[in-house]
Amino acid sequence: MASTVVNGILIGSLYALVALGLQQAFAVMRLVNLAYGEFVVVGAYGAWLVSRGLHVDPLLALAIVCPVIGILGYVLQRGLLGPLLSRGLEPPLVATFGLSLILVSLMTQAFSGDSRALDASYATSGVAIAGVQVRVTYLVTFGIAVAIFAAAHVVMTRTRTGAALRAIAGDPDTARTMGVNVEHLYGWTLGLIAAVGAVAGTMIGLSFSFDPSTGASFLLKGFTVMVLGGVESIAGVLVAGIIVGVVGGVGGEVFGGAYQDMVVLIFLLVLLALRPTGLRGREAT
Amino acid sequence: MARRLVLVPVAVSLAVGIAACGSTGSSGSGDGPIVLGADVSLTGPLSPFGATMRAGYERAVQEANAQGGIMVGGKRRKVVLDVLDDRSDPTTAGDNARTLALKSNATILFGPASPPLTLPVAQVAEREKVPALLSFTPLVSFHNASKSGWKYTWDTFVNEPDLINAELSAAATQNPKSNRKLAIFADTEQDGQVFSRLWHEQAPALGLRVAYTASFPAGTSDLSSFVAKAKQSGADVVAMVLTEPDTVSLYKEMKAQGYHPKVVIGEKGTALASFQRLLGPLANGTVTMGFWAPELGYPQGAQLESAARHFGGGQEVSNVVDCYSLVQVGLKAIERAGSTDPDKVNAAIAQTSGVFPLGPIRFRKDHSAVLKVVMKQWQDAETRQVYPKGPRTSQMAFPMPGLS
Repeated sequence: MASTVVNGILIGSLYALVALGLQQAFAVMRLVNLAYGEFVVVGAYGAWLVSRGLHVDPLLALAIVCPVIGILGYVLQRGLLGPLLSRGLEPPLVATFGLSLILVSLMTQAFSGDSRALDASYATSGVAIAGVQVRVTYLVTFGIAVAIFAAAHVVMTRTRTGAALRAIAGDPDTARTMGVNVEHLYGWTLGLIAAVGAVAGTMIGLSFSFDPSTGASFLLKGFTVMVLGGVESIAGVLVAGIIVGVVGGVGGEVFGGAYQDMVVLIFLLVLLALRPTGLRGREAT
Repeated sequence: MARRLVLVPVAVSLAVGIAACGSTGSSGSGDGPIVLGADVSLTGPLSPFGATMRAGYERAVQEANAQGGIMVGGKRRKVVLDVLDDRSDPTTAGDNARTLALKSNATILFGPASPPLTLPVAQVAEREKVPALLSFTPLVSFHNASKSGWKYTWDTFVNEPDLINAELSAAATQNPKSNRKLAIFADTEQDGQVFSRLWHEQAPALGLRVAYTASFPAGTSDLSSFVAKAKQSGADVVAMVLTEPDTVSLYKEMKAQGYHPKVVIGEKGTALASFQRLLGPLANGTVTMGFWAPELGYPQGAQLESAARHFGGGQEVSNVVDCYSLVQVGLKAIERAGSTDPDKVNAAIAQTSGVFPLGPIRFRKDHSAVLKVVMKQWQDAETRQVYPKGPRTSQMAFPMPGLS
């Protein structure tokens, strides 16, 4: 059981990383991004291309992949999603659904439907922590996830940019009249969360394997974590990711692997019945 | 009101007319091309199968057309192959089969790989009364899926008990140094459950004891607790029936946790070259199922192998041979029927008896034809036949080098 809990905590940080991008898109822009799973997979393919092309470790490849994907995210927001956001929730929702299908098709055309994995010496290594054997990639994922969540928290609570983001999340029209460049900040938000998605994709590629259709299952996990954590709490998402990882693992061990996802979803439903706003509700970030 | 009543049949007629215009073939007409419909997985997790299967279907059709087509009722008619991609999704597979049967007017349906996808195609074939020639559906799974028996669907593949008998015998008797404890990893898809049940049933008679069983949905990312328990059980023999991505995750987890089984038997996700490419040396020694090998010496084997070799060193060539042979079975049946009438073609398929590149195919009354089991093992980036024993078979590597 100790092994299940420890591994659940570590894998949960990966779910949280995926959920962070979904949550920030919704918290700042009220954007339900159905293409986020594909953002994650595009990041994995980016790391695969760069690491093979330059013969570097996939984690080092992120130094190139993250800025490139961040810029693409910015352009996507300014060019497509931004104009749609002013028309309500549905148009961007439909647009991201279409974008998801287009990205899957493009990736299939470019890379075929074959599964791929990222190579690294540590991708199949394990270490013992307090007598529990865990994968090195899970530990690295946990470390990166904690660092990104801490950075996101600091940016949102301690910087002028964070204050501006909170302002446009609350009332973009008022923020605009006060001189905040809302569209520019929206662009940066999508760019940053696309970059976070690339990090998550790289960790998925190192730990498991990926193909153009991999995004869907992680999108589902991400939404579960986001709803559980509360749609406006960064810390809540990290905690929720870990809870989903642990509950899923323990549920699988107690009831059998076939019921792993069901246990998580029942847990989510019970928790939402008790706390409709999730773990942290609408408290300040 | 009367005008509305008149408009209804007009609209229906127009709709039917438009639908007919949209059809790509004209199997039913006297001298138009014969349409064959194939649903394959060109994208999604099972896409590695799709490309090779399409190649097999297409090659057989091209060869038939190169000879001027096939003789049907005294007329030579060309053959058209309509291929649709099911994206490895069962619902889409069923939708595609319906489109091929109703819109393309396919005379025979051909299927994708793996029961979760082939069975929806079979169900459409039964409902629409269009013959379907399937493979990649182990026979127990095929029979379990229809309690009343199949009428229009025909399956050519290996019988799971034969396969399991060969694999577990190799694990238990050819390698007596293993402790004969078996750990099973099966997904919750139909073939996963069938294999898991049969492993439990057949293991004791072959001197193996099931020490641990993990069953989980395809796509489960965290397999750590399952591997930890299998390792704890001390099982030297691992049997798995998982998709390729899940198989890769399981190998990585076993390696990271320091679990060193001596024999690893993998169904489904270990068959193709992509499995070996993803895992590299870790895959070395994995025992994988087979149903064809050039060593079996069936007609056209060498030509088909050299034509399909570029797809990879795993089951790729077998897939091409399989699908190529199924189209041959179908075209010969249409010729014998002398018509594209579904019932006549169906009756002609039942009479199939001959040796094809895939091997001897003769359908039993339960609509299945049994293929010979060929057991292979991944050795240095390609699969080598280790069973049945013959002059060109390789020695089985033991203990499995990849996870040692």
